[in-house]
Amino acid sequence: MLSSISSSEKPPLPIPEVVHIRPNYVAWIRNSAICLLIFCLSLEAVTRLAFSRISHIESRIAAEYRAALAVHRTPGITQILLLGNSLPLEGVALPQLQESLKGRAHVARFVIENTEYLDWYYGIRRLFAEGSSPDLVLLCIDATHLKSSKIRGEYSAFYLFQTADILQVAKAADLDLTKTAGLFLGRYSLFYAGRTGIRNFALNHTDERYAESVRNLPPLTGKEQPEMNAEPLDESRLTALRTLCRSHNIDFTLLIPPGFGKSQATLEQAAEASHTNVLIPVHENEFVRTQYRDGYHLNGSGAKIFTERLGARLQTYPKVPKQQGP
Amino acid sequence: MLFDSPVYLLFLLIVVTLYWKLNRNKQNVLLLAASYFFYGWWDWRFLLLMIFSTALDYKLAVVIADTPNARLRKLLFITSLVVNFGILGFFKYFNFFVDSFTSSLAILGITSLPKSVLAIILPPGISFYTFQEVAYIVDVYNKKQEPARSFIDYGLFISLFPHLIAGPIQRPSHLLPQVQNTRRFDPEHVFGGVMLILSGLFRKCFIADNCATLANAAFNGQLGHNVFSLIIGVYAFAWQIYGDFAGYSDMARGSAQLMGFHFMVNFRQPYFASNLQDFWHRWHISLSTWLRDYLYIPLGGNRKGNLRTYGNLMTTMLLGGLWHGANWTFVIWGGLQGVWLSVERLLFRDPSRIGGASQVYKGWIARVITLLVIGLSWVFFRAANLHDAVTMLAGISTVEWRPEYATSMGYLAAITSFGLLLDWRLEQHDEEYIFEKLHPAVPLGAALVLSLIVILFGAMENSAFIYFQF
Repeated sequence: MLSSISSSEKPPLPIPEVVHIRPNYVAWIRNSAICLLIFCLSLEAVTRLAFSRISHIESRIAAEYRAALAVHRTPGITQILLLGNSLPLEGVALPQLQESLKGRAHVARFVIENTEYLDWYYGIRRLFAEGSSPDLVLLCIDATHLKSSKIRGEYSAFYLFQTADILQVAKAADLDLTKTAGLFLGRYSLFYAGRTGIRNFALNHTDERYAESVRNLPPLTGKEQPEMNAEPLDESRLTALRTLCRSHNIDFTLLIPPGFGKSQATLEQAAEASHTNVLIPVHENEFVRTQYRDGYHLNGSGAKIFTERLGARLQTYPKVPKQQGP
Repeated sequence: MLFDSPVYLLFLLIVVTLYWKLNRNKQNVLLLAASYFFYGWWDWRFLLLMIFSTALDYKLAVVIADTPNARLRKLLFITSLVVNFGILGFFKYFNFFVDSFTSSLAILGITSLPKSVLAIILPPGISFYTFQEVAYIVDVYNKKQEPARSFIDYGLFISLFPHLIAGPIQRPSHLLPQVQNTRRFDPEHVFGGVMLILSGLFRKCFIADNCATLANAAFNGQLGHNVFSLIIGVYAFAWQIYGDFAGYSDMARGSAQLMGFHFMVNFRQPYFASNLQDFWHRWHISLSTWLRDYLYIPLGGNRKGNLRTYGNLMTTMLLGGLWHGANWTFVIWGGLQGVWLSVERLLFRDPSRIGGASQVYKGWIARVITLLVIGLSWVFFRAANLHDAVTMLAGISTVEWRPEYATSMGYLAAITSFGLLLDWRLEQHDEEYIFEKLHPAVPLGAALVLSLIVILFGAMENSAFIYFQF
């Protein structure tokens, strides 16, 4: 009985061996690559769709860029395109200027902070190539920016440079190959071009006090922040700007911002030598320190006077004194 | 081509894709061409110098190995050392010695000499590839290493692009056989490479570049000169240089792993070191072991009595300091390391013999003292010159609080806590990248989270790695 019972029993199951299953790393490499690709594409999409809406700076620049492209000559109304960096951004009260020119002229502003001569020389080329056609281009940069061979970097590549111009820009700005390659990527990717802005935005929203304290770091000792000297300027850059605009049958005027020192005189000399129009609403050393936010950018009261005088000068356009060149 | 730039990642992707489609010989040719392209991208003018230096050592090593004439072997060996160190010395130290010499004469009132005769530009990576060539020629001379019989193989050993500009300095016995043998595609190894690259990007773009803002502000005097700015500056720089170099090393090792190579670990949680000797077992390991094997031990190491040992330690660390750059600040940095290593050897050889606190407390006290010594020496490492270093240290006597110090310290604490947690995990689990020993989904998930942090908060300005200047 026992044996029959015994014989009817199933043989004991073998104890399963502990098998270490090696993960399929090929699949995980593929997954990583796919994740990375989706991640990068999402970043670009989020930057273009969301960041340019939630960031005041980015939304302003994107809107001004579109407005600059939409400028077309209209009979009876002078179309003015105001370009530059933080100087016109803070120094020109746009609504006040629009109001003062109502019915005579329309001003479209396109300004990007930390931009200089090369940014705008190539920027104007791109704006014209993409269809912007104002009557007058008004570029507001100071002598330091006109002399400088720096560029804003990838951000300028996105908004200001044409792909075909990038090698020329890199050569003019003496960039190495890595930075040049970065410009090509920045030309097409807003995320890459605007990554510093994204970081600043994130930092401002997570640790505002730290962001504020970094912004307020004192300048390096022994270095004047805006280098204002009276060295003669090479007029070829102004000639290049004027020639570029003239080739599209557009007037070009250099709007000289107020400041301290002797740089206005050198700018005027260079403008005269290059037969370039200049507008000087406020003379150098005319404003006192209290009309500047930081000794460089105008504050509200300074901007009000500057804009008032600028509006008055522009009302006479096209009778703004013209220096005819070759 | 900086490792954290998109163009490098594109370059790497193209090279790796082509690489695994070829056989070993063609792989080596491709990698040598890619490495020379990579070097030429930095500065094509110095490519010929590197090729000349490589070719010379390749030929000399073969002759040294093949000739039975002992005198000729020695002559060729010395020739190689003179040429290698001569090139390095000329490019790296010429300006330093000329400037120091003219400054010394100025003290004596002789000022009519020109300040500097020539402005010599430092070829990228020269300190690293020279040390690798010297290690090779020494090993061949000592019959510890068979010479490479193919220029392609030797050229690749010297110039393989992931280690070319800033190491890790590879040993001939470790890398040359890998170059000479067939590499196998190991998916786990490749996956590890991807994780190391992402980990390196996090260390560089998030930790190092964020700390750099405060380190630069403190060392440039923008935070004032007092004890708090000193603390902020030293702490920020300590994490900047660690994140920068360890991040670079991770990316170099990760890039190499994508092609089936293995590079030695260059950093092993150095700020957990319990003494300076331990620190040097964890920090820039490829340099510290090189100095140990090719300088400290040949000098006699610790085999010739205490006094000689201290002398050897000092010599090794002083030259190690000078290797970093032609500046007296690096000499003092090396000197401080040498002095403290000697002090440790003299007083704390056996910490258990020191009475008082329990072992746990002793361990932590030792760590804190080690960090203080390292921090003090970082002041000399970071300062632009001796005057700046002394000014920075003199701040210790001034206590002057500013509200922005609190925000800076809070920010630093937040940034570096990521580094500490990362290192703690690696230390506890003996991992090379975070969650290495868990299912791949876990490290991949972590990498994505870290990437998001880098994207939102990383500086990503493609600032050059600190060690590229050495």
